[in-house]
Amino acid sequence: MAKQDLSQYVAQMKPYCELRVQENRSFSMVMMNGNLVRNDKSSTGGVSARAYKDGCFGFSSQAEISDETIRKVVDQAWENAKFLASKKDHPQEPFKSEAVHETKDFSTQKERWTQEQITDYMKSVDAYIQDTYPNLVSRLIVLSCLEMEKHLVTSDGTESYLLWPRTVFHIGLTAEKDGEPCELGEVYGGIGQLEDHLTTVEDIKADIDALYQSLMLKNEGVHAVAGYHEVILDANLAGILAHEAFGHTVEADLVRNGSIAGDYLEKQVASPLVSLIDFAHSYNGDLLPVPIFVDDEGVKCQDAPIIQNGILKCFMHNRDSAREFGHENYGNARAWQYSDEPLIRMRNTAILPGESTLEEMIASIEDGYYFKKTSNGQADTTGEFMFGVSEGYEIKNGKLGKAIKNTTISGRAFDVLSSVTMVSNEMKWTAAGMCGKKQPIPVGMGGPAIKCKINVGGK
Amino acid sequence: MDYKHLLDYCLDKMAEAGADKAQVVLSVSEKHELNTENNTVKLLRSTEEFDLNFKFIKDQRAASTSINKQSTEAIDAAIEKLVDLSKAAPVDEASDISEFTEPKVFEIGVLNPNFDQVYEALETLNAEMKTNYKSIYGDAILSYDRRHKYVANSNGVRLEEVGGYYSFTMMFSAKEGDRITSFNYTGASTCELKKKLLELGALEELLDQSIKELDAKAFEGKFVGDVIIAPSCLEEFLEYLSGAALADGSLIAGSSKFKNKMGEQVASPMLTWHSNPTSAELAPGYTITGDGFVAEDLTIIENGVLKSFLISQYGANKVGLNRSGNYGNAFIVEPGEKSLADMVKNVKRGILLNRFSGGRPGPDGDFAGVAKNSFYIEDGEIKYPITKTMVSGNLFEFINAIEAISNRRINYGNCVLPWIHTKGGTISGQ
Repeated sequence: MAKQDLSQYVAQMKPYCELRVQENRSFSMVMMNGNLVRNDKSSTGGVSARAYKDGCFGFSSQAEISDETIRKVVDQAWENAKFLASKKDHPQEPFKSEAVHETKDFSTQKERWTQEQITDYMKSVDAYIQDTYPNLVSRLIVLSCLEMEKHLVTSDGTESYLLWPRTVFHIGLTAEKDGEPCELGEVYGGIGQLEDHLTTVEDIKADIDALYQSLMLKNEGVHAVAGYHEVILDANLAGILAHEAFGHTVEADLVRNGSIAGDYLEKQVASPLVSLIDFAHSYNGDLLPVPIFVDDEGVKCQDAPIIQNGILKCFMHNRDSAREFGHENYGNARAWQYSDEPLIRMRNTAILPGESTLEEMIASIEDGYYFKKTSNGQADTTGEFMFGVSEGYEIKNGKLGKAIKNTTISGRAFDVLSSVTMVSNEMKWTAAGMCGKKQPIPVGMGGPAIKCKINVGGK
Repeated sequence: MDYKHLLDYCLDKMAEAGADKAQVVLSVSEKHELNTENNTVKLLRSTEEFDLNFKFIKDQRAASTSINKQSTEAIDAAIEKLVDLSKAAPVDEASDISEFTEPKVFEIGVLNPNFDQVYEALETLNAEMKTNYKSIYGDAILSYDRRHKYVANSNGVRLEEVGGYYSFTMMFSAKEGDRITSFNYTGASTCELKKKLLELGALEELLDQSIKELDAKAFEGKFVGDVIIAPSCLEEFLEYLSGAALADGSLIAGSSKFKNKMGEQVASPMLTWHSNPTSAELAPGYTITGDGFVAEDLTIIENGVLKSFLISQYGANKVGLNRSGNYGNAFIVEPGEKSLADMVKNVKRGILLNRFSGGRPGPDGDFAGVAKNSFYIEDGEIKYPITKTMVSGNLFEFINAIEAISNRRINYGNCVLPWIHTKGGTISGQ
């Protein structure tokens, strides 16, 4: 994306306006049983503006980026805002905040791979799986790369530029027993371009072997017993718990629409062992999977300390809701494409680690489950949530037992987080998350393992 | 350069770059969208988009790319990328483009929208919500979408579709004091914008149910019983079935339970399920498939017998089957003979499943998730709305255990679906 001088348009931008030039570039290869069923490189970019007048927003976008289209979207956004404002009688001051200037470019510093190198890597991973494990019914290898490049100016003087790449490499294996297929997959990668994550097939063989062993256990596995159980949610699941179970209920737009969290500010909502933060960009000095320094409304991002020792401390806001609620704005407004308006979104949401070890936690359960991997998740304004579990094990008398088939777990955020009795000392982050809410958006999730009580689906 | 010349330019450039087969799909779209927050119009969003998708095959090595720019420089750069991508791709005999057909132009839906009517319909809804649904909180979106799509390829295909429609979605929950319900959502597309949006799809019914859900109870215990799947979640179940057994992925992977079942009984004789993108019942469907063929209506299951997969040209070539007339969506399920009330009367113990929040089932068809916005049924009566309740079962068993299909259906614009009464769901509470 050619960088424009956007500051020249600020004078044209009415009292409050954001102007964003953005390009999302994606590269995707899907190899199924050795066949390259997807081999695609795409880009979507353009310019958009969002203006504000008297409580109403106007938004406009164009795919072509030129002086003419930039001026056109700025004018059209203002016309749209004026049209809605003309139907109302509620004058409101334009937004104003401290001007921020930020430039972040997370492109790889390594030499870029050629297309041939990438294809050879995919083929060699597939060949290793086929040669080593010929009994599998199918093999799926997915390479999915995204680069999001955003350049933003606002009428209150902020200018930010971000180039954020993410690489997700997925391996999925399917076995069969008595005619019944059984799948298991693993995701690798994170922030950075593919050269930052992929090396040689030798480096991933141990991971593939471990995945195969887990699949074989699952193929011989049993159905989970439906009902309310004491469980350990591994670090991989704690992140999605933080995101789905609680994070959504404290997004201010959902609070406005009746979310259960709306009545609980400064009240106990979780075990005192639980602290939950929506991190802006770093944790303990390390860069997080989705680092956001300035949001798409031009607000400087800070960590949102949602739960501190079990007490609900804040909601996540955009400029409009922060004004309406009279709360601090931590910079949670994000847009997916150039043609999308910013919505209140999470960034890197995590439960903070505790002091127990995973071994101690497993040993403490007489009859329950250890859930290790999740497949997806959904939330509710009641705090009720569900997520799919693709890998899990029985716990019998403090020891891991048989693997289980796919199941689903559910609960109500406040109940589940209040039932937490142990939190592990290990923190893990996952970088492959996409959250859906009118628009998709990449999110980071993290956490330790937690011991809690939860409703388990199953036979 | 006008769009037809642009398509020719793209095909010529791909031919110059050595393509044995080349295909271009151009989509030019605009959206005018009004968004409300809690019954107040808050955002007017107008967007213009342009998408150019290329498919390039040389020596049976295939690649695709898409850009949303129309300058010759951008197109030339995209084709250069394609050549690079295809060179590195493995040989795949299944890669192809659509076969020659006579040029056609399709016009579907609303081409001359009435924007005043859009604003008026949304404000009418806002007023009705403020008056009659004071306990409901939610956001709504009403938009007019117009798209002009062109498909051209080196086999001489020249297809064009111009269409437009109104689209409405609403997400809502009810709240009174400290009692709140699960959120629910619905939507519908239409070519005739009614002044009363409440009459679109099943909106009014779902809003009324949402208020009843304020008295939801956590279900306790576990049983195997009946499930009446409401139209609001039937489309999701049909999509799950499509993914697990009918579409490219599962057929290529060999994991489809239907792979050797064509012409065989795979469901109850009560089930007849179509994918009819050109049906006049839809508002609007589609006329061109994603792989560049003229879309045809098809019957997937007729009286329980498997009649068609939903497989693309590539998938068909890959597994040695015939390509389907389309590959999915636009689902229409034939109605049955019973009213919903009569279906409920025949349930000894079960649930009315209005929304399913769960993981996508694998190829074995097992599913488990939360029964959202749903109601407990006992001895032929809807007893109470439920919360914290999970439902699990198997897709393939469900379609074989159908007891009844309702005579009433909901038309969502993109699908027309009834209520289906089936058996063998595991219902579990806390």
